[in-house]
Amino acid sequence: MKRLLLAAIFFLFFFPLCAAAQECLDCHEKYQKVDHAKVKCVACHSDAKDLPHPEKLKKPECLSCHGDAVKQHDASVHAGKGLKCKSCHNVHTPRQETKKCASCHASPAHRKLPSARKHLAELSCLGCHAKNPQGHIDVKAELKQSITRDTLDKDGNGSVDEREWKDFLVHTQSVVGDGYRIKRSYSATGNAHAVGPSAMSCNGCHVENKVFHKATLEVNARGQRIKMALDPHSVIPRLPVVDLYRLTAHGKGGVACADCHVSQKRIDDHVCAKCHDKVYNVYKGTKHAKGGAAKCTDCHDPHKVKTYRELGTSERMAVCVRCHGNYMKHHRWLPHAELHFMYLECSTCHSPRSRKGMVFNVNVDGKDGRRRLTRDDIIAAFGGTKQTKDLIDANADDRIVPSEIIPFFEDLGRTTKGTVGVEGSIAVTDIHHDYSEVQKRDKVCTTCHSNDAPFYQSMYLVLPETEGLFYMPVKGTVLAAMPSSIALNFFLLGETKARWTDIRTLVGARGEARGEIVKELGFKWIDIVGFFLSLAVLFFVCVHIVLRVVFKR
Amino acid sequence: MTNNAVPLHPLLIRIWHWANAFLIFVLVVTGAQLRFTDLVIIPDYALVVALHKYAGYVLTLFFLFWIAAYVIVGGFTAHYVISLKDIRSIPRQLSYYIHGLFQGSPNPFVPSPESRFNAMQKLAYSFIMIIAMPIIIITGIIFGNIMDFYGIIRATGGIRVLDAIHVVVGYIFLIYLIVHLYMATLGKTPFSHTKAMFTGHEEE
Repeated sequence: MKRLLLAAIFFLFFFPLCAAAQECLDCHEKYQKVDHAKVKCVACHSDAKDLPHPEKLKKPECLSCHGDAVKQHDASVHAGKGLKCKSCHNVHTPRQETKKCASCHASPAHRKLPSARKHLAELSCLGCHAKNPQGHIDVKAELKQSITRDTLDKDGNGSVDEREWKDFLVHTQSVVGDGYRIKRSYSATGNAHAVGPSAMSCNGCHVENKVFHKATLEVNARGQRIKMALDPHSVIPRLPVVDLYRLTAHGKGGVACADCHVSQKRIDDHVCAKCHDKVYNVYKGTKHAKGGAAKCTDCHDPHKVKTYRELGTSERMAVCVRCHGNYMKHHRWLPHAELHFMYLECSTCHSPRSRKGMVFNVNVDGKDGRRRLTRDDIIAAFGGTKQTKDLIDANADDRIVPSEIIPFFEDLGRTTKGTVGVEGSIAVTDIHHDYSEVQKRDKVCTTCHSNDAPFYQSMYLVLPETEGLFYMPVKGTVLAAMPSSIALNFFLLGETKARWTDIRTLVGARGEARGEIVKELGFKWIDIVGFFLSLAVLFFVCVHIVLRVVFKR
Repeated sequence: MTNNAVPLHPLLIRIWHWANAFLIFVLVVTGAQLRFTDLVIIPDYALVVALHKYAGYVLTLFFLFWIAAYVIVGGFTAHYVISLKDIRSIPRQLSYYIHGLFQGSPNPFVPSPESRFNAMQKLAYSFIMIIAMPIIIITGIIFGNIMDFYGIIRATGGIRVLDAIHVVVGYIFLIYLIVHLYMATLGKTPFSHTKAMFTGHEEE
């Protein structure tokens, strides 16, 4: 509308001068081929209206006609670099002579862009570098076999979502075989005058839909043509949110996207081996690696927020179960199989050379469900002046004993809103990546269900510290000594059973130390009392027998 | 069987007794190994677990059998319910076991088909059968089906509480067994009580 108004004003006031344009050309012959949307010379050089015009004319103002473009340019990164309109546009012949991006940026390196070749082949510069670019994806599938609309759009909502797209790919691969071809075309562009200081982030496309709001799928199957909307994320791989990535072990360690994504190909094991060479050297000789069954990234998601140590046993099991889904079938021999799988991970048994430990996580069951004990809970109970480690490890010997655990949890239980609970698991604390030692797979129950089980020598209490979690080594018993007010979610009972060493320690202790041991024994008292009571009864019976023999009765 | 033998134990009760005796023996042995894994009686641990579990289930069936037997043969109240008269007779019975027995005094209690157990036996047997047995059976069934009772276990303080109850009652059974086996030798002859539990008749 604004442009129309300006054109009308121009027409009314300057029409008489148009006829005089030839007068300009009489002197300025080189402008014979001026082609600026039929705009006459005096439209821009307004001070040349009256002839003869002053020798020095004012600089023409593009703003009067191209207000929006000029404002956008002024706010762009190019204006900041000192570029003017004429830096890109020859104002007398703008149609013929306007610079493209490549005129200045001949071969931008795009070193930080993962899969750079693929991105640059598909997308225009403005698709990423313009502010608010808009794009569209066209996906064309050519099939040699017919397909129904229902096969594509299972829920009948008129569009193909991510799940339906994956199902379609599975269908084409399994049913159609090699007889299909899928072509994806990505077109995105934006306003050349509004180029931002930085390009669209990965998140713009791979997490959100900032550029490609729409995608269209066209399937041509033996003359049959089906066209419908497609969820753009079906053909744009989703990436983990970059903000979350910064919280991962890799993110915290300063590993940048391009450190791993060095090409457009899928990351292979050699990329991981650049840093994890020791682990890879073990793994590369195993059955999994040799058989090509699993690459590093098949089991480990480098974009996960949690480190492997922070994963619970069920989460670790989920990694194996992705391929070994029928694991229950192979564990029918195992008593309480389902229960075992709640507190163990596959590697507990299937990686004999891994180091296992008894790991105790502390949770709080409150109104909002279960949550991990936080540093704030510790501060609420003990104040914030000391680190959690210093609070529980009273004698500062870097490992905690039952006499330190008991008061810590008693105080914690009193102040924490909700029920404090300890969740135990037998977890791998130092993994050995060889799972192919078939003959060593352990089917002997007493490996774990005995006083000599290795993890009794490797117990950890996981507590929150100001920065993350720390594994506090525990010496002695945890379960037996844990106050009864603390709910225990653990089904291995070995720790609550008395051993000869407990009795020897009790007998050998003196003074205050004996008092501590009496408290620490906890549930072990059942065995001690039961055993000695049985012995006393047996002794009484023996005395009775002797008396009967003496009295001949 | 002699002519002066008193019919004391009905057939159903005798069947139950010996089945119960065998099962409790299995449960004590396997239970001891489960509790103290260093004590290897049966090398195959999985077999020990299975034996303990299924012996426990069979014991449960025989417990129901015992209830049914008393419903059929009758006399539960007379044999198991302790009366005031029974309580008054405890000191006399205790005195006999501690002192009178060695002096050759007669047993103050004479068993009969109507009242087979003296006051101390009644006290022990009723405690074992009415209190201890149901507790150990219930906790044992929970142990055998942890996933089915997962919520109950969590709500009652975790497996260590369930284990504590089961094991405490287990020790009670062990102590009871020691006393019971010895007391069985205090008949007219060391084996007369045992023989009676096979034949059903106690010699006078």
